[in-house]
Amino acid sequence: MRAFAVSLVIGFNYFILFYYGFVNLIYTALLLVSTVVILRYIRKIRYSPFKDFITSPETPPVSILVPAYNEERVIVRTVGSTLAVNYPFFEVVVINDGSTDATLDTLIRTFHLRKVDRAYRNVLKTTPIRGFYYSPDVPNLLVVDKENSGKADSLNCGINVSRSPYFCTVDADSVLEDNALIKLMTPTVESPVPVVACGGVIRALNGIHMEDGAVRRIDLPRSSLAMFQIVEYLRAFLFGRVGLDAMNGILILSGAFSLFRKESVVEAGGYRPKNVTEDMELITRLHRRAIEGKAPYAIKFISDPVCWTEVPESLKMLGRQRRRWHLGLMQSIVQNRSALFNPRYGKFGWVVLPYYLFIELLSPVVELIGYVAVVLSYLFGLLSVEFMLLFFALAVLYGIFLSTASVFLEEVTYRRYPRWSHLFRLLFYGVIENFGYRQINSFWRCQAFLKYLVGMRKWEYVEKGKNVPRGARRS
Amino acid sequence: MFADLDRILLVSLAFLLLVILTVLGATIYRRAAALRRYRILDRNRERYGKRFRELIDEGKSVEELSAFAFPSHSAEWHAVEHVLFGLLADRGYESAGVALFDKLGYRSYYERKLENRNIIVKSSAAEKLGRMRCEASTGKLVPLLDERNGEIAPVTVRALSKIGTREALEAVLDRLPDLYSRSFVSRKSIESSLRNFGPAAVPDLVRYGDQYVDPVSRASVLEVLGVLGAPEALPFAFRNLGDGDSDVRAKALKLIGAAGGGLPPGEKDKVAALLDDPVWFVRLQAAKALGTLRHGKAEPVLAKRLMDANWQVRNAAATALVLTSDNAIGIFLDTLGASDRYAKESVCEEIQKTDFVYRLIDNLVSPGGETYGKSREILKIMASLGYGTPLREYLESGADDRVRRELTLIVQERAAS
Repeated sequence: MRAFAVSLVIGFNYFILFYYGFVNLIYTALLLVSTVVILRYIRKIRYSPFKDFITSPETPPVSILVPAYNEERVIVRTVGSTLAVNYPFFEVVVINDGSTDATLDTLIRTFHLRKVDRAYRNVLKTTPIRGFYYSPDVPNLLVVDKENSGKADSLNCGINVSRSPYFCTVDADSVLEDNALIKLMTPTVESPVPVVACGGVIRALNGIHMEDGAVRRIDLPRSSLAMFQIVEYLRAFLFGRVGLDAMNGILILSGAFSLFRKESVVEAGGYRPKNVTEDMELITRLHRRAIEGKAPYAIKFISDPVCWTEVPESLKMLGRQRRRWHLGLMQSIVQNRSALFNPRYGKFGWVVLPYYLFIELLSPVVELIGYVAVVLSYLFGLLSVEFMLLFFALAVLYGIFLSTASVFLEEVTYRRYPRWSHLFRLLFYGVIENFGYRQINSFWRCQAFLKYLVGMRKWEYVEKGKNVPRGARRS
Repeated sequence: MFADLDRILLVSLAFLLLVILTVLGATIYRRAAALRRYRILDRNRERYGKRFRELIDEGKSVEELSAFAFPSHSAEWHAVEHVLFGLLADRGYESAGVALFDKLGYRSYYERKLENRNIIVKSSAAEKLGRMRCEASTGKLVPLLDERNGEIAPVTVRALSKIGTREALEAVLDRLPDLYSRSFVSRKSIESSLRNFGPAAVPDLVRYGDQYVDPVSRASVLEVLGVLGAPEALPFAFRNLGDGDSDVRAKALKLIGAAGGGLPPGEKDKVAALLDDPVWFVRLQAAKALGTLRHGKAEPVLAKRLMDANWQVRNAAATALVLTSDNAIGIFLDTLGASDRYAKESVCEEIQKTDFVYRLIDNLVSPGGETYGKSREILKIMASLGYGTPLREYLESGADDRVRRELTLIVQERAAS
């Protein structure tokens, strides 16, 4: 029995070693590709025509969809920032998802809305509408009040109501930069291949100073948890997604700020309310449908346009958010398992889905089992303490390398955090996030794995932020 | 075995540590270098910005300003470039700015860059020459349109459109079908750029549009003419109304809608005929065009389109009827009496959106008569379909007591039924 256990542990140790090497190889490759792509992109921005498109009648109209549930605290700020974007033709559709707080009343009062009647075409089936609110003073704002049914259903409702060929989803606790939408649309308009979806960058709003719905001064939050997430977002958006985008392999575009071609989404059947990460599931389905239809298509990620969003500042809320993200990833992969290693789907089936399955989905589980295996190996006398410590140090150092490389990429590209103190804090948190924060993240993702296995697949409500951003308090 | 592994790990650790320290150092150095660079640039920009304006105001010739020709890539060179772009945005200094770009060597520098093999360098140079409005560079830019690269083509088209000369326009139009067939550039991108040539481009756009065999180029030209709202292009639009390509027909209608205000009734009939087109977006453009052309004879066909299968067409037809017809009340009443719920909702929505509902409410002031009866009936149907908000609003805050009485009755009748 002991011999069997020892063999098992040895075998698993080798597996961990190779898996770790393989994952890091992939990450390094992604980092290298991203560095090249992002530096090229930065040079290309200089001749980007987005400023021409701001005044061009050829720029396609966009509906900005803002689903809101109990957002009375931030909804005015969000709507204000979306109404202030530099874009020639757009409408803002706020979908009040049966809020139990004063979200609707706040909107009515602030924007002097009155109830209007409108034909509602239930193309994508949704829960019933309670009313439409409009004001001639703000003619491009429409508020839809509907019965509560979740974000996906609210977005479907917004799609039904929207009158533009493109729609952009924005979370109710987010703030768009004034040129964010036009920067997202420009590559879409310029692409000779139809772009069915396009996502921008999400950054943490915590610590930001705001005025009249716009970002006035960028600062960093005091909360360590928010700081960890800022570094994490830099890593995810500046090298993870950029690398995957280089091969049209993006599966995750943040629902907090993404642009979609309406026709493609309606044809695909809209968002699926049963998925906990409806945005990812939709992107996966859009990939599949386009490949099945043998039509040229692109799903893009653009590393320049920014949407600032609040990130959780408590471990409880962050844990909920991460569990939900991982659960959603799992659902999407399981639902699309028929495409996995299926020659019909080309690189989507052979590279993209396996990447998300073996690297993104399974890595926390392997990591956790790895910790157990290390302890067992030590107990069985299979591992020297020296080796164990060296291996752990290597893992930590590699994590530090990825984090600091992300901060470096930010520095050579967008440099949004202007002060020296910002830079040093980012580098500092890039180092220390590898001691505890990364491990607790893996733990939450493993929890999601277990939850999925036992059938607990419900949306966990996340209250973001802890304090209202400074400018918002004033308003 | 562990000893070997330990050594491998130690070497890896040392290497990784070195890489991390390099990345940290590079990050800090980069920040310091960028700050220094921008400080110098800002200082020079302020200094030269003032100086250039002063000298131009003093009436100095471009030749006299040649002392500001600095070595390329120096901090001063970049600062002067910024300043000159600033001058272009200022009407009073615009021509001096264009001349100075030439005199101080920027044009020749960027023209040399056009020969670079790196596509980003080349595109960047093309964009700069366009922004500098260097007419003399047209000849150097045009060959870039023939390059087999999808990145350079849109930038070159845009640069040429900013230069805005006839030679530049002809160069683009000559190659339009080829650019589209090679899928190197999107239509929106080209159309945005062509618009920059302005109304002076209309004759050439029409001439080329007539010559194009491929429908994509023709539709594109029609779209640009529609945005420019060029009445002189109307004959070209009418020649394309019978085209086999639906996109061409739709764009021709869009142009007619935008520029055809003074058309004779016979021509407007041709537009009305396209309300029966099999393609929905052609019908949509026809309905929209008839809304702006105000063609009374189109009433029956527009009324028919209130029952169109496509909601955009229904809405556009309803809007056109409100704008065009004296008999809109009768037509709407007929449609609201039909059984198609979607058609009825479209009509109700447009009656509200176009504020026609307030005309209906005003008609209640004097009871009796056909208009009163029809208006009352429409309002009653609207209330029963859930479009009663304007009625309720009037009941709450309307000025005329007679109208409020009528509306109360309508609401009561609806409740009773």
